[in-house]
Parts: sequence; structure tokens; C-alpha cells
Amino acid sequence: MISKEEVKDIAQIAKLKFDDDELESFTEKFSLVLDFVHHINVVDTDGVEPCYGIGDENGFFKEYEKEQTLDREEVLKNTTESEYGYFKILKVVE
Amino acid sequence: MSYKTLVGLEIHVELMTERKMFCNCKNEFGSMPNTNVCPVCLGLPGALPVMDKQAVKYAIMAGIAFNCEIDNTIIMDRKSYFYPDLTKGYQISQSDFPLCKGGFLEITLKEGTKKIRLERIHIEEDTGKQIHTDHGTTLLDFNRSGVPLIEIVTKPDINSAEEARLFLEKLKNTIKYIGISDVKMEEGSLRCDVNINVVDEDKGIKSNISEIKNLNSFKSVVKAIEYEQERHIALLESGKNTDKETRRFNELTGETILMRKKFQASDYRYQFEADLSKIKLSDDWIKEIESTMPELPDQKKKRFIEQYNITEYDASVLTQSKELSFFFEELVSLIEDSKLAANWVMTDVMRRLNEEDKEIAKLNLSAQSLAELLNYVKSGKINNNTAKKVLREMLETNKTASFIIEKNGLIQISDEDELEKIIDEVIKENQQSIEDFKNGKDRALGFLMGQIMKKTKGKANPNTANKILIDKINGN
Repeated sequence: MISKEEVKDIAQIAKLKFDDDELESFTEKFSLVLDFVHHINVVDTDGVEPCYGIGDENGFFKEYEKEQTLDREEVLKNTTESEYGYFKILKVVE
Repeated sequence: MSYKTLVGLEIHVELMTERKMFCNCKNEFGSMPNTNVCPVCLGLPGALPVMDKQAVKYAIMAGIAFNCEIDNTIIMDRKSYFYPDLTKGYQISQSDFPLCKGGFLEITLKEGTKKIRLERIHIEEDTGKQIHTDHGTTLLDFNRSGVPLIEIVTKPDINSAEEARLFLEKLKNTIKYIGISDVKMEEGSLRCDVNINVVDEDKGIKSNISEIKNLNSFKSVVKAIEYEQERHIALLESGKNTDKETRRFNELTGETILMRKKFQASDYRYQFEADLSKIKLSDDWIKEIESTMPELPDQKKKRFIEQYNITEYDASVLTQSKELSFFFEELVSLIEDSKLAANWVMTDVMRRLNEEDKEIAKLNLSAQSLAELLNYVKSGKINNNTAKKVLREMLETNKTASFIIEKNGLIQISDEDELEKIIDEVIKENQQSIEDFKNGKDRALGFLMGQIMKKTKGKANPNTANKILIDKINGN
């Protein structure tokens, strides 16, 4: 069972605020999901090397020819607001 | 009660690669906003990153310079957090498998050298840049997004603000030597966060670690450490403790203020970056990088002591910056006298640099122009004191040594006949001093030499004049 404090912490990371009822309800639902996921712990992984992805060690370095730099007009095309060539947003400071 | 301060540093260094870390946009400081961006560094859906070879090479060079163990496999991770300058919602970084592990850097203290151990050096991408306006808005520029960084993490081996400053200076200097970054704090290519706590050694109690951000200069780092040290000790003394938190340094007040509760590593939900497969680095390539490493400050210092027969102190000052060491070596090769070169650089040139708070490259003086002046000294055409005056004028007016010497008629009088005439006059006018000298008052000789210099406007060759004067007094 996950604690209310843990749910609060996770909510903070996700920039969400819960009232008491929501917190209660999320804690319950969260626990159900986690319990379900914990079934995977039944698998015995002792002595098994961790796998960080398929296609191991076939990564490569990029070549310089394929440049995709965009015109600024193109860059700012989808933003709702821009100013002096910058994206303009509401100030968010932590 | 005795307290020990424990400081660990996290230093971000922007690598001076030609292109960004995962795309082919130019890595350039100061371009028009949002002109070096593409789908990859804007984090547009579907865009895929590909690793830059030069970035990895530069990170390996840093690893070698700081005595790290280099991992021959590159594994990247996603570090997830929410912030407007990070469009993907995660930063491509390294978590469990940093490219460089361990390592150390030695700093020179009065008591001797001290080894500051490193935890790791990992590679990651930089984020976009935010400019906060006065109207509650933020302007975003993604030219910096995707610029390759190394993050250097030390162990908490630093025990004072001064040690932190020495460490940062050595680190900056070393990185400049290997040429992987221009390490300019004012342009953000060198950034530093401080982790600090104190230990009450009598009671065995530790304060909780504070992380200090927003440090824009080495001076700020020093001030922040001094401030935090006191804050932690005061809290422990009153029976309380610090919170584990991230604080911001306020340059104007010299204080730190709470930013937020410190994130735990798990809060970042690190996961393998599946868009980049593991890259296996060949041993040959790593060896090739090793063999082409430029000379490092400590190696150069050692060579200077042996090759130029100068003191350890002089050698450490002269190798403090790459530019200064180049200046010195060029000067030595031009005047073929390492002692003379070291003396002049260590005194007159360094004094000027300190006075003007400048680096050698910004000073109005080339090794060639100083060499021209010192060659006058070497050949006895002007004396040391005159040369110092000429140097000052050179720096003020940007004129050459020969121009100033000729214009002011400063060539030393070495002609014995000419000097004898002047010395005869001085002796005639100062009989009392002659008597004093004969009665054992050595100081009188200094006075007489001063009179000779006064009459010759400082141009008398001091050695020749001294010899003639003594010979005459002794009646030879």
C-alpha cells in the first residue's frame, strides 16, 4: 500500500494539487495499479544480466552532412506567441 | 567546538564542439535566437537523436586530464522533469554508467598538495535558455538546447571556501589547456553548484546537505560557502538542523534563499534512453585520444622547473594559465635567458595583470615587444630601472621599446671616459660622503651612486660607474 505522503510527493513532481478526497481516492487507485504491476516480481531474475535495450552496442556516431536546421519562421510557426524571435510563455519560476 | 565543512561541487562545462550533441545544428554562442535549432533539439515528436563523436572525444579528454577511468561503452539515460526550457520533458543524460569514473585533481595549499577526488564525469545535453521579462513572461531561445555538456562531480573532499576556489581555478585552467571549452562563467560555459554540510566533530552530528545554485562567479562560490557554513553551524548549535533543500544564492545580499525541497534521484525517474543504442568505443580510439593529449598544467610545471631552471613557485605561477605559459616560453626563446624572462614576467608583467585584473591576452604587450626591451637590458644598453620605466610607457602608449628609448635618449652611458668626468664632479661636490665611506659607512656609497644617477638622468651603467667610483675613492 502506497502512503498518502508518497502520493503527495508524486503529485508535486507532476505539478498536480489534490484535495483530501482526491488524495484518498488516488492513494487507493495507485495502490491497486502498483499491486498489479508487482506481479512481475514473481519472476526470478537472480543471476540474469540487466538488459538496457535491444540491438545492443550497435549505436553509431552521426555524420555531419545531414543538417536539419530550420528557418526561424518555420521554428516559430506553431507557437501561439513569439517576440523578437523568441518563444513567449508565461513566467514559470521554481 | 570543532566543525568540519564538507563541500562537493557539481560543475557543468559546455563543450566547444562544432555541432550539437544529438543533431547537426551549429554549437555557437551568441547567435540570433532560435536560429540554430531543428526538430531534434526542439524536441519535436518523432525526431531522433544521434550521438556526436567530437562531444564524446572531448569528454574522454576531460576524463584523461582528471585521471578518471574511461568506460568503453556509452549508455545514455532520460532524466525526466518539467521545465519550460526542456521541451522533451526529459534531458538526455547519464545515470548509472557515467563515461568517466573516479579520478582526482590536485590543488596546492600552503601545507602542500591536496588531492580532491572526483566521483564521476558524465555527458549530457544542455537545455534551452530562458529570459525572464518584467511583464510576467518568459522568452525562450533553444540555440543552447542540445549543446554537449560534461558534468564533473567531486567527492565531498573540499573543506573550505578557499579550497573550492583553488579547485575551480585548477579545473578551469586544465580544461583551457586541453581546449575542450572556453570555460567562461559569464557566458555560462562553466557553471557550478555547491553541495555543503558541516560535521560537529565532538558530537558526531552532521547537518543535512544544502545544494546551492545560481553561482555566477568564483567569488559567488566562495561567498555562498562561507554563508552556508555559518548558517549550518548556527542551526546545529541551537540544537536544530538544516533541511535537505536546494537554495539560490543572491549576489546582491550575499545570502542564500530557499528554492525548493531537494529532489531525490528517484524523482527524476531515470530510464534507459532507448532512442540511442549503446555505443561501443574501441580501445584504439581511446588510446589515440590519450596519445594526442596536450601537455597538462602539472606536466608543464614540472618541465618548466627542469628545462628553465626556475623555482617551483615561479613555475606554478607561469603555468597558471595556458596563455601566460605560452607568453613565457616565447619570451625565453626570443631572449635566450630563462631567468631574466621569469623575473620580468613574475614581477612587472604579473603586477600589471593584477592591477588591471586582466589576462595576458588582453594586455597591450606581446612576447616580441617585451623581448625587444629585454634585449636592451641583456646587452647592457639600458639598466633594469630604466627598463621598468620604458615598460610602463610601452603599456600606456603602445609604442615599441626602441622608439621610447631613442625618443628619450635612454641608452646607458657605459663609456668610461664620459663616466669618469661625471664621477670626478660628484666626488668634488661630496667630500663628506667620501670621508664617511672611508670611515666604514657603506651607506655613503649608495648616496654617491644616487648622485651619479641624478647627473646622468639614470643612464649611467651602474656596474661600470660603481667600479670607477670605488677605484677613485681608493685612490687608484
